[in-house]
Amino acid sequence: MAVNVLVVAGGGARSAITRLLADERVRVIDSPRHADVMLVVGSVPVEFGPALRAVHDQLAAPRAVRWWTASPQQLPGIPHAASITGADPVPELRAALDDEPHGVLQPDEPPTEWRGEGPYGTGGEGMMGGTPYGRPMVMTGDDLRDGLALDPLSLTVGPLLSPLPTGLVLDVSLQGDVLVKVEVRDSPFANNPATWRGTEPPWTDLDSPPPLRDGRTVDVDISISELETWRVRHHLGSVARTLRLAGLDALARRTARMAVADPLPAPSRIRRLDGWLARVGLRGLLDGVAAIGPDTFTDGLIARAAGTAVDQRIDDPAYADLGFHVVTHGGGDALDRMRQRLSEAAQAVQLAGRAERRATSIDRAEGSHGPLADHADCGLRLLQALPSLLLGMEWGDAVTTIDSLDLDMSLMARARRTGSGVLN
Amino acid sequence: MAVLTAFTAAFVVALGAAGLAWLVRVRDATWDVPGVPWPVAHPVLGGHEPPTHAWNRFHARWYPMSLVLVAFEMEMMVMYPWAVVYVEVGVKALVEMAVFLSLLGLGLAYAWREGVFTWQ
Repeated sequence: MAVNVLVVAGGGARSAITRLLADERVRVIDSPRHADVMLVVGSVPVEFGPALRAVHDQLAAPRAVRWWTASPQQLPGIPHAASITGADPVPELRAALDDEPHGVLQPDEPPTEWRGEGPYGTGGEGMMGGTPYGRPMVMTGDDLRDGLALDPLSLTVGPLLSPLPTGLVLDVSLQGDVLVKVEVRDSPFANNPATWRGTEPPWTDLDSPPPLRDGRTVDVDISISELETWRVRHHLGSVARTLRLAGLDALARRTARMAVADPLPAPSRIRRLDGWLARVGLRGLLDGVAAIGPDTFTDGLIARAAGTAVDQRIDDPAYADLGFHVVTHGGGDALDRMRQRLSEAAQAVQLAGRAERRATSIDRAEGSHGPLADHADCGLRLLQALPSLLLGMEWGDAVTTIDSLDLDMSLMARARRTGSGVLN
Repeated sequence: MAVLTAFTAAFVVALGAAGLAWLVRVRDATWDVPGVPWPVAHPVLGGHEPPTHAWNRFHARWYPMSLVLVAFEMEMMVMYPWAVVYVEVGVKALVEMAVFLSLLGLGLAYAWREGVFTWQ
């Protein structure tokens, strides 16, 4: 029986989560109410405490929480969370089902008193006056689509809402399903990464590209074989995550297995998956959603998926030796970005196989979103463009869009710290 | 006397229906099911609480609905007298109605493409 796990991705969690996706004993799910256990992976800022408590209270009994980190500590916000330090978390996740039931951590009170204004508590704005059941009613506001003024629902979609990247906080306003206002709030990861609690889980090989991982400086060469291997695993992990979001769990598991496979999977297998996607198209889910034109982003994978042939590797003589050619797709919608990731992964397998001892430098290396040296800036630009991208979309399409951008909030925060775009 | 019996009967039926409705009522997790704490009943938003209720109104967007109504109501209007004379007239009536329906089907196809039937 698969354990239903709600995953919270802290710093350095990407590799571990890809391995969870590849594991058939675990089912990664999106809702706390459906979860057997909440698994927090990696290092966690203290600012997550209130959000963790809120999600913990919504878990199904026995509200088991585990923290997968190499250094056991107390999880911010949840005192009863036990640590998992080993490489295989599944036995301990299964054992978590037998935990003693835990009570709610937040105070059991209504948000505000049920009372309106005036001597009898019946006055105030809104349809019923005052604050029924502890909250005020929605007031009218303008609709984007036409001149009607009805009730937009304002929400703060928090740092731990599962299909969205952990740490992304959006203030949204919805008219029905349609987003009429989107603002990106500061992520809880934005503070100093040195103050985050805990460390990465035992698996971190897919997380950051080689130079960022080992703390090398800009003057040292990067092995092309390592860089391209990282690229294969990173992109296959993204595709696995998107497939799980699409509901194709078995296909997501196969793709995640390809991502963690050692040696790397054959390019033909990756191309077969790409071909299947081209035929099936996941129409309605990915096809035609979130078309990002070539002028919105001019760097990296997103621009290449929109048809612009921009890549750091074009001018690199080491890559020219290996027979590198730029891959692009037209259109720039979510399906094109997914196929772009698969095509680049297939090509990267071949480059890694041929590379032998060739090397490149940080300022000429191509990362997952754009030039490796600009990793933090690319992420920030994506976040700044999110509001204009998502405005007017339906909620389902918005989630697909955000997932297709492959944001990693914790990695962006760590990269931003050193200012040069490179992790320390 | 008959009025009184009728009135009593109506009253009893109404009470019975109300009683049945009360028996099958939907129980709100926050208020009717004992022991559900407030933090559990909060909607899943990933860490923040919603500032308002979600009891918001949706506009029925009457204009496209009126156009669709006109199209199919008029079709109904024709079909009623057609049904009466259909048996005597025979195949000719069938063919005429098929033509009429296909023309209206074009209108339906147009409305479909314009997204009138999607819920948003």
